[in-house]
Amino acid sequence: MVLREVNGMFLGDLDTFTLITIALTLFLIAYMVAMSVFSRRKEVKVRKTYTILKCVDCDYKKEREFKEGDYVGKVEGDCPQCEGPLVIYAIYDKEEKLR
Amino acid sequence: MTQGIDWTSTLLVLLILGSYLLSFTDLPQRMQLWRYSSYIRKRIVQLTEIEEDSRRKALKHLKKVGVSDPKAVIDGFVNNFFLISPVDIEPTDIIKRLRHLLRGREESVRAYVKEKLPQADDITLQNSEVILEITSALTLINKIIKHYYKLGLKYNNWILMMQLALELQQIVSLAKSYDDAMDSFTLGKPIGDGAGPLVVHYLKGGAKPKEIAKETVVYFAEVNGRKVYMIKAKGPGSTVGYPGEALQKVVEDLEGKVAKIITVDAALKLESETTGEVAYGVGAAIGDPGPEKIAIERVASKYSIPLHAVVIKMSNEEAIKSMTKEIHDGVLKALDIIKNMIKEGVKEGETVVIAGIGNTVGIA
Ligand SMILES: [Zn+2]
Repeated sequence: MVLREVNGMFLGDLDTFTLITIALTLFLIAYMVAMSVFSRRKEVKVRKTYTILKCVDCDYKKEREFKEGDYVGKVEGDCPQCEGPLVIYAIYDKEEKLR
Repeated sequence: MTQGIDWTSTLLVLLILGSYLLSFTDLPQRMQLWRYSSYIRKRIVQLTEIEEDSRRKALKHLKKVGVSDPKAVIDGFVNNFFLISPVDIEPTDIIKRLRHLLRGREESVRAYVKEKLPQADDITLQNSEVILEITSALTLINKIIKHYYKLGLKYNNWILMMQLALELQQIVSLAKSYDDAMDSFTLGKPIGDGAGPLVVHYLKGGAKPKEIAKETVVYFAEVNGRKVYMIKAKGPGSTVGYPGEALQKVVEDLEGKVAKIITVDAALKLESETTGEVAYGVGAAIGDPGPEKIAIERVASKYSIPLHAVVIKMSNEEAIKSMTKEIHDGVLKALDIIKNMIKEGVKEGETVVIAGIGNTVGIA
């Protein structure tokens, strides 16, 4: 009963053309909302470069952020454990999720 | 009875009229052309931003290394130094001609950079060269896209427009990664393509380098009784050296008494493959335009030396951007495979030559 009342109030007065127009507009709005929701779902990832240092003589290993002038094979000071040469073993990017 | 319009028949008339317009006129194509061209325009704006960003980075870098008028240096480089490929319908000595042209271009680029940066050391020169090359490449990409866009508009070629629009996303992402790669060269970070030389770096241990070809070094070490010669470009500046020429020299010096040649390089992965996968096979793993690769193949076949290849897989973008952890893991896997190849495939007292192909930026 209520449904028919509503039908009579809103839809009964409208002709086919207007109905099609309304339906199309609604569909377009729904599509655009869906698109914007889906595109926002991407994860934000940050890449950071790290320098890995290793001692030539013992197992000592250290990781820090990359700084300019670093290169693989560069001798950088002495090992804090055995005073052997500390060499840059690798430089690579790691991906981190923001948040 | 107040409204005089019969909506149903109006709708019908409109529908029929519409289907006539869509089927028997050029209207749909026009609309497509218009839609694709507006899409392309947006992408061109994006490409122009990327190009300008790379110019800014180049400007900053050149200023830092002491160029007084960096803008003039960039403008003088971009658009110039093209290379016209040699005649290929008459292939006799084409490699020799191509090699000649490639080296000539490299020399004139080096001379240009050297003239503008007289006090710079080799590493700065090499890195500045690559930075200028990237800026130049981005300018070229932008120009080519604009060319096809304008052609499409001029001749109402909607198929050309559509093709361009469909390709553009890939092109823009490649341009972006070129721009990202600039940071690696301004800071001297290893890139994905450095995987080959990095394998040699780990393999050589404490061996001393000897320059055997321009910007290319060879290391010698004895591993478990096997004589191992290792070739890579000379780092830590950005260069790929001349590994083909170097390998040829090493093998000729040994009079072909080599049990095995192993090349190791970064290779383009398929979309379904993961970055850092390692595979091995037969042939020369090297992606140069021709001269270096053929030098390796020729010397291997001249002395009938088995030629093996180990590749570390990555995408086009990853190859020019800063090296990732996944690629580094791949390097360690490749190292194990090569060590195994030496142990299993080469007898004690025999000689093996290993060439790590790739760019040595950030790798000594
Ligand atoms: Zn130590």
